[in-house]
Order: sequence, then C-alpha cells, then structure tokens
Amino acid sequence: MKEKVTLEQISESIRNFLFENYLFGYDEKEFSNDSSFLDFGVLDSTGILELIVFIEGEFDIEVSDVEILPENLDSVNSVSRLVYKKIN
Amino acid sequence: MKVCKNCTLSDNIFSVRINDEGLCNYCLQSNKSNNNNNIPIEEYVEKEKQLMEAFDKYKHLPYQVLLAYSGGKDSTFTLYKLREKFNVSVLAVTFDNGFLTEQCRQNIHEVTANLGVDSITIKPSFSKLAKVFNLAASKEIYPKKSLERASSICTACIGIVKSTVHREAILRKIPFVCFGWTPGQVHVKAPIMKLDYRMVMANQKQIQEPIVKNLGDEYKKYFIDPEWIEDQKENVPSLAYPLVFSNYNEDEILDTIKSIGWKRPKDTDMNSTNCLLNSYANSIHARDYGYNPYSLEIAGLVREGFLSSEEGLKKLSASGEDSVINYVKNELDKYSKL
Repeated sequence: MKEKVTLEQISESIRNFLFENYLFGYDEKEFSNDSSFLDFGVLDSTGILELIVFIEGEFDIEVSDVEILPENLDSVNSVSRLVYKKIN
Repeated sequence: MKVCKNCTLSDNIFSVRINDEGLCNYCLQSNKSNNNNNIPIEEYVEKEKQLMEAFDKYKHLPYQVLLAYSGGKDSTFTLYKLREKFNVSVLAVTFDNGFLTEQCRQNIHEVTANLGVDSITIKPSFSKLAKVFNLAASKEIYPKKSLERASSICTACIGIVKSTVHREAILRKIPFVCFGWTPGQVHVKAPIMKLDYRMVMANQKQIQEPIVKNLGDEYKKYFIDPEWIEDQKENVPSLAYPLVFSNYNEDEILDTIKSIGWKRPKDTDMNSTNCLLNSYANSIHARDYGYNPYSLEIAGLVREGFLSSEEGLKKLSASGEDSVINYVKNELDKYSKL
C-alpha cells in the first residue's frame, strides 16, 4: 500500500479504522472527514498513540515526535494529508 | 456474551467483535500490528540502551526523571528499575486522591528510603476530588473509547495526575516523566516520546472541560494553564516508558519489590495494589457497561504472553469487597456535600 495510493484511499482506510475502533454508535453522516477528534471526544491521549501505530503499520511510514501535533492528527482529513505527504 | 478463546476479551466491550472461530478482532489485528508481541530480547536491550543514553545526557541535573509514583506494584517496580538499572536521579511524586491505603503510604515511605529517592505528595482538597469522582460516577463525561481502558472515575483521576506531574516537571525543569505503564496498557513504538505542548494541552482538554463545565472554574487550578505552558514550552518533559519494553512478569516484579520493603495491601481488590477507590470505580463501571475496565489491559498481557488466560480470567472475575465499596461510596457522598 506504499505507492500510488490516493488521498481518498487513505481517508477511507483511516475512517474505517476509526469507525471500527472508536466511533461506537455514531452514524457515518454525523462524523465528517473534517470533524475534530478532540471536539467529538473520540480520541484520548492513548487513542492518538494507537492511531499513530495504525497509520505507521498500514502505510509503512514513520511519524516523528515533532509531527505529533493537533493540526496533523485531529481529523480524518488532517491525518490523511500527513500520510499522503509522507508516502509521496 | 461471547469471550475470545485466546485473550479473554468479551464482546460486551464496545470495540470487540468475536468471529466464528472464537477469536476477537484485537487478536486478529495483533498478528499484523506493531505491538510488543514476541519482540526478541535483542530489541528490548536496544530500547533500554536508548533510554540509558537519553537519561545520561541529563546526569548534571538534580533530578533526571519525575516518576508519577502511586505506590502500587508497577510504579514501584519502575522506580526500582530507574534506580538500579538506569542509575538515574528520581523525584517520586505521589498524588493522594484520599483513598491510598495505609499499607500504600508505608510502602512509599519504605521504598523511597531504601532506594534513596526524594519524594513529595500532592493532595488536593478531598471535598473537591470527591465532587469530581461523584461527577464521573454519575454522568457519561468521557469518550466511550476511554471507558474501554479505565473506569470514568479512574480516567478523571489519572487525567488530573497527568496534569499535576507535567506541571511539577516543568516547574522543576525535570526532563523526563515516567508512569508505571505496563506492556498491556500502552502501545508505543519508542521508549521515549517528546510531545509538543499543544498536544499535552489537547489531551488535557478532554479531561478538564467536562469537570470545569460541571463543577466550575475553581477546578481549573488542578490543570495546566494554557498561557503558562506556552511560555514554558521548552521545559515540557519527554515521556519515558521503562516497563513497556520489557518482559513483564508479575511474580518476578512482586519478588523484586518485596526486597525493597514493599508489601501488598490486604484491603485493595485484585487489580489494584494501592487504591481503595478502584473497587468502587470498577463496580460502577461493571454496573453501567457490563465489563471489567481492566479487560483490555489484562487481555493485552494475555495476548503478549505475560499472563495465562486462566490468570487473566481470574483477575477479571474478582470484584472488590462490599465493605470497601460501601466505605468509598459513603466517603464520596459525605465529602462531596461540603
């Protein structure tokens, strides 16, 4: 999954991960790709670390400590952009 | 209710799904994800070397590490390891939530004396904490995912502990903060992580906001001020995980810490070795959600081979003593009225 992956595919994968593991009971329409994880209260500090472990394994990338910032990790779109930037 | 035949997780937990072969999605995912499962000994050695090198850069400081020291077995073993294996200077900071057992207090006294460690205790007003714990027990104020890892009461308590120890580390310019996290509790790729202050504040916000919203602005003082931390951003400590990359063996841990004066309290439940509040928090959680809040942690230890499934199930089925649960409830009711 390292090459030729599109931003849409990345978003889809992250969204699926979140709905399977974090967004219990939410309707897909309630949670847009721009919805803030923190404002929605779906990811706590451990959850953020788990999300990082997931994207590193799924997309074969490494996220450095300086990239662990709310602006990179607070929505499906922001995480997708970070992943897309790193694999391209 | 279905239970995973491998790791003991039940499908009462929101995120758990058991397939036709009787395996849960966590077990299936653990085969391909980046956790500590089957890490070769050489990798543990390498991670410890990384920790040692990072600590050694700060040998000149009065304290290299601030340990959030609960007095329980895991943080006691972390303290032992920091002193005996890494030879670092430690300030042990205990957050007294009003429910530490007498044996726990004695253990903190003995262990810090035997290891030559300075120790401080921070104790907010018990009537204030009682209101926080009663709020957490009565309203769903935290995300469901948080409630898979810990009860609402413990989430509130540990959230305040995290803010407290971060603030102490920043004030004292201590470069590392440690907790007694075990391999089942956190999955991180490196033994050290430096979080930007904005991330520290984003994490704090989830704990702080519902407390302040429900109980008032006077509760802001138990959390880090956003303007202050921005001024102090260079002093925000790194998180170090000395136990996460190790062969976690509870019997060996208990044997080791006994040698430095630690004794198991007789009045805590099977999943706590320091705090009476835990029994009450677990009973509320089991009543409201139908599972033990230690399930994910215990299943993680079983999955990674640190506990047998029989040992895991035994821990999960053990409930606290009614007398302790009633004592905690009465104390909370009495003091939260003040």
